Amino acid sequence: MGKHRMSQMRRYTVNPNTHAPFRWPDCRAWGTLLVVVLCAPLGCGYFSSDPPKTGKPAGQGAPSTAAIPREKIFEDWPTPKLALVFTGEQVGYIEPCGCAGLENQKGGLARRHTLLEDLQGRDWPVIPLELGGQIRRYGPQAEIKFQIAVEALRTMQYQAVGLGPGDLRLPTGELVSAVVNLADQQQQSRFVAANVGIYDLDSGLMPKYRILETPAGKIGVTAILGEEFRAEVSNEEIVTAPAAEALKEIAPLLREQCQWCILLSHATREESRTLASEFPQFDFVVTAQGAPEPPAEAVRVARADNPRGDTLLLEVGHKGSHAAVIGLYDDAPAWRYQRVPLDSRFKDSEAMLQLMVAYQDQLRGEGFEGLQLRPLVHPIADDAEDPRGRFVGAKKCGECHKKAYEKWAASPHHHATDTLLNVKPTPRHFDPECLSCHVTGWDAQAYLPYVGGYEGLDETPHLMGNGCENCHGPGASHAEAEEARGARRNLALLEQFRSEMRRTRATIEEQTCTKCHDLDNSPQFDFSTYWPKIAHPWKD
Amino acid sequence: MEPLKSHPLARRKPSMKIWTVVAASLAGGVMVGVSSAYWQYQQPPIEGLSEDESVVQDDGRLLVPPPLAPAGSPQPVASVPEDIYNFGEMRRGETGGHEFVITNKGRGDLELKLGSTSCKCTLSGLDNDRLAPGESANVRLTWEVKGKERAFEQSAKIMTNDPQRRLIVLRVRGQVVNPLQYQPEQLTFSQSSREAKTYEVTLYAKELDDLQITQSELEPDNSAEFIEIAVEPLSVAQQKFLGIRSALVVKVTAKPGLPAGQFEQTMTLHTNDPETPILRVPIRGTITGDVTLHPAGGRWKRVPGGADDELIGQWNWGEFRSGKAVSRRLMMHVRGPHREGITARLVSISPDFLEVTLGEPKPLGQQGSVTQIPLEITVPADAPSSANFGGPPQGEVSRIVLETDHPQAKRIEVQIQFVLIP
Repeated sequence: MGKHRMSQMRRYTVNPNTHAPFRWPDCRAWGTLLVVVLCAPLGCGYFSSDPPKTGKPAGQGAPSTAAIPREKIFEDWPTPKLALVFTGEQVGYIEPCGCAGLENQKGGLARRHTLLEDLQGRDWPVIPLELGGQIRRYGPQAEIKFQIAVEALRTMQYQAVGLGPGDLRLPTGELVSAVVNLADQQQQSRFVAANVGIYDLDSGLMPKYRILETPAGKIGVTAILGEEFRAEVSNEEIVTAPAAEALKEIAPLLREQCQWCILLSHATREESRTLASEFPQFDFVVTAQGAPEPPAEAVRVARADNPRGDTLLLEVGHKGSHAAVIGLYDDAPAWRYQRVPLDSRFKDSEAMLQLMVAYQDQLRGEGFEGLQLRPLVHPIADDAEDPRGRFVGAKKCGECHKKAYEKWAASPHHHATDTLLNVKPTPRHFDPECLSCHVTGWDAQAYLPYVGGYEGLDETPHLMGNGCENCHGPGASHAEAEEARGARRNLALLEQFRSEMRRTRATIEEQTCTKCHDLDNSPQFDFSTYWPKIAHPWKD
Repeated sequence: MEPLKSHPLARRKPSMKIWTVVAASLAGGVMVGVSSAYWQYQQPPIEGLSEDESVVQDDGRLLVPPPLAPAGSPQPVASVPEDIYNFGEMRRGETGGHEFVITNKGRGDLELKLGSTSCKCTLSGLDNDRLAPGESANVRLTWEVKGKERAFEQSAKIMTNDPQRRLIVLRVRGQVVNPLQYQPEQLTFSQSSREAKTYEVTLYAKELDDLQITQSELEPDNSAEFIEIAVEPLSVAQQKFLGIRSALVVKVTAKPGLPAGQFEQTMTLHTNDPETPILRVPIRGTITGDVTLHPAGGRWKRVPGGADDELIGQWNWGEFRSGKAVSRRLMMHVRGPHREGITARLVSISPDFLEVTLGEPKPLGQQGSVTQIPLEITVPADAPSSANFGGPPQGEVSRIVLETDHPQAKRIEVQIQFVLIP
């Protein structure tokens, strides 16, 4: 709009068809001009001032030197005829984990939606396309998350969506529900698969390709599952074929009908590169298994005798952390490329936040039973009945280990569960993927409770917080042995249980902290910095 | 004498006309400023974005690069002969390390500062993070191969005071290999409780001539009577083709009779490979009846109770605004011997303002292994604006009842929960 107004203004001021006789402007005009000139910087300031940065002001603990010149996004991009936004390999990360501060994390559907809305707000025609790979794990929570992710793609108006190996591990019924949900007005699914079919390659539940009518002409999109991932499909009702075989028919057909051809290649980088060489009909090949962050410049795969030049091999980063955007133009260059890190500079979209609320509501509705969380026997216990696997809660530990308890109580570990209760836009204390590091008595990596571990705020209030027993192991037998008096006091057992609770700095560093403080959730974790905050070398 | 007030310069108060001119000028000035800046930038910045990524670090601290040397003074030049290194193959759990070299080929001191990293990264050979002209520093990246990815990549960002290269990104890439691999990593059962199906896992040994499975077990073992595990060698020709030393195919057969519902077990395989003596293969899936219902984007929640030949389930649509029609589809899939020639008919719809269309049966899959019958349900635009079918305690649920000639699903009741917001 602004640009359009500007063009009109130019036409009025520099109109070659106007032949009015020249005369000096009068005083009123000069005055006006003077005010205009003096006020112009006010307006300039609006656009040239730096947008607010995230995090604390630079003055707080940061030197006064200028920051690294930042890689500008869409710098010098004229309005494209069409912007293609590629995403993929979200593998369950529908939102960045907030454990270590959201400003440190990239990705999430809420930021992705904001990117799309911002581009549309510039009056850019936008087509989002998804490589696939919504989920990684399996079971009811993964199924709910998959449906939520597909609903998000529907809301964001994705026009073609591929499938990844995690998606294809889902029960057939879940896939059918998703495929039907993501249908266009003609009831054709926007899930696309050239070499994957539900029940049969030609069952018609998913089209083999889509042709999109856009301001940049017809865009042909198809998707394949690479050879390594095909071997991962063990569901007999999911039928696959070699990718190259499927593309032999589809690639020429798309080339014949479309201005631009796109292959969503859920394959290794090497296989995608081979397919790009083998099928030069595709202008853009989007690959899976790329680098954690896509390259700053798109990789070219040589394509001889093509007026548009080489095929571009695009990556989308890991865990939905980035988007890759291609702008299409009539004039040379015919395309521009931009990787976009979905970091905290993008605000959360309200629509996606509401979906996250719906997701948490569904988890709450299912409960641990509905989510089929079968409690694990703690490694120290022989079986589910073994008392050595029972938890007592930090307060009980604090009855004897007073100084250690005080230190723990003053640490963030103490209010780890409260953190989940206060997360916006909705609490997360029904989400096993969050609970596993925010309560006592869960296997942090398996997202499952141990027998006798935290069950709920009302059921096990003594196991709130990331308590002593997460590092030291269940303490019931140790506490019981210490409290036994008289004939019940067994010194051998007493020493055995004490010994089982002991931890050294080395074993903690190697085996314990990183189960929660991993790269995903605590990217800046450094043991030597964090350890003094929780170390408690006292017995009392 | 002409009245004083008539002289334009003698006026005590400017006329409305002058104010208008001044206001217009002011507005014009701002507009010109805005427009020129806009013109200069071609596109406005995306709302909420700061200039770029990369400088926000832990606890919101802004990490900044070393300050530039004053203009005109000798400048450093950071030279990195290699910033991407292909490490080749690594096993999962292994720790790798690689050293990159940064040399100052300029005339001023080169300052280096470690930025964000995806692995452990140390700077060595540095005196106060500063390299004199001609000096070199080593940057060592160490990492552990984790996760399930087939490839790994680690990176470290180094900030400098070289005006031409303020940021150096060092990357290590490689492939993850296992001496004993298996595919797929999980078996997904998807079948009716009345049929038998066989699923396969293939084990590949790269460093063992005679791979063997010495024992296999299921955990928990409550479905063991319905599961059969058999092991066969992969043909020698296929082994040669794949370039491996030995391989086995584990065939897992699920026999008829598995109870309907979610299926979750772990198959533990004991091998003669000293490095991987135990492999655990998860088996997941859904065992269904012959008739299944798949609501678009939702979950079919079976309501307990009902007769053996009844299917009753809930589908939650949530809340939505009235005044606009909302349609959703549900697919009925029929497997087993009664799929051919199955018929279904609508019996009742409550509330009666719901519009329901039952589609024609259509065979899917090879030899029509599944018959699909679509059901389209619409809450019309003129539905009562405060209709509440959210279920107890607030309201009733809507009910669509079908009848089929399938012996396991003579009556199907689809309960839809929805609430209209005026």
